[in-house]
Amino acid sequence: MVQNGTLVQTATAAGRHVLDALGEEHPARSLSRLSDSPGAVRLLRELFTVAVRRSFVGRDPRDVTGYVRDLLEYQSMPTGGALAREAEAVIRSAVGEPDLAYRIPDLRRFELICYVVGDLVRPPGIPPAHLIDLVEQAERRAERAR
Amino acid sequence: MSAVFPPPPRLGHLLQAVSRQDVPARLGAPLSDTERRVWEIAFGLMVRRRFLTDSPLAEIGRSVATAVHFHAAAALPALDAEMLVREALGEKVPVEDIDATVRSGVHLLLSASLADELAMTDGELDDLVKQAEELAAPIPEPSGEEDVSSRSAPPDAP
Repeated sequence: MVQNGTLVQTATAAGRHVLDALGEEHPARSLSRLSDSPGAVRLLRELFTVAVRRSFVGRDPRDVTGYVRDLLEYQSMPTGGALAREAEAVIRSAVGEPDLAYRIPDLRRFELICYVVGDLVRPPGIPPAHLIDLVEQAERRAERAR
Repeated sequence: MSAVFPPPPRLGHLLQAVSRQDVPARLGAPLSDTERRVWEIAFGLMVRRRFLTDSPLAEIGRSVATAVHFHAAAALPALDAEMLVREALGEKVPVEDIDATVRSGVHLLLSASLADELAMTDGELDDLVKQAEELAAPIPEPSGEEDVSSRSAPPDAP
């Protein structure tokens, strides 16, 4: 577990599940196991949106291509094919190009979201306080969207 | 070649016809690997005529969107098309497993759309296709026979 007690107390039930998963050895895989919890899935989608917008809005979209290559290399996955294109499409769809990802099945989209969100804690990872802020912001967005 | 049916149109004419929407996009499949190669090279020439290597992605995206919407019946995947444009501009992008049909469709329809954007004349289009055909021509293998007269004489034995 990476999170401490203070961290866990700040989140809703869905938030606690997400934070717990982010503290596991394989965060993306642990996050994907939350797929049977609608609340956690909703929160994950919002967390993904918040994270990629804060990272990529205002930057050259080509930075997304480089980020995806780095992410897939870290995960020891192929970097030159359809998976990379789909990952780029899902990220860019969240930062203002929604048409790019409409052909991607929901399950694949969810898997890619798990990889990107899981990447938030790739060493050295973002500071815990920043992670809490992101989760709280995602919780507020998820609550508003209900 | 069949005596009944006319020969297939040359790429330049096909590009012009597709630009004018004179032929359905689905007719635009290359007949052979050589033709596919010509299409690919012509696409690269067209892309580099339209964009700079560091053209903003938004500008490339607009051109791709225009082509995709204009040839909506072909249902081209926009991101695949954008990646092929970026590849033609020399960028390292994930294009490894794009289906051959999609590639051909992008090469033809996007080339036609870019020709329209550039307001190319029929003559300019034919010149570009001719250049692509020349570049696609296989480079002749060097013959095994060496010109003996050009060899330097072996050093004298001591």
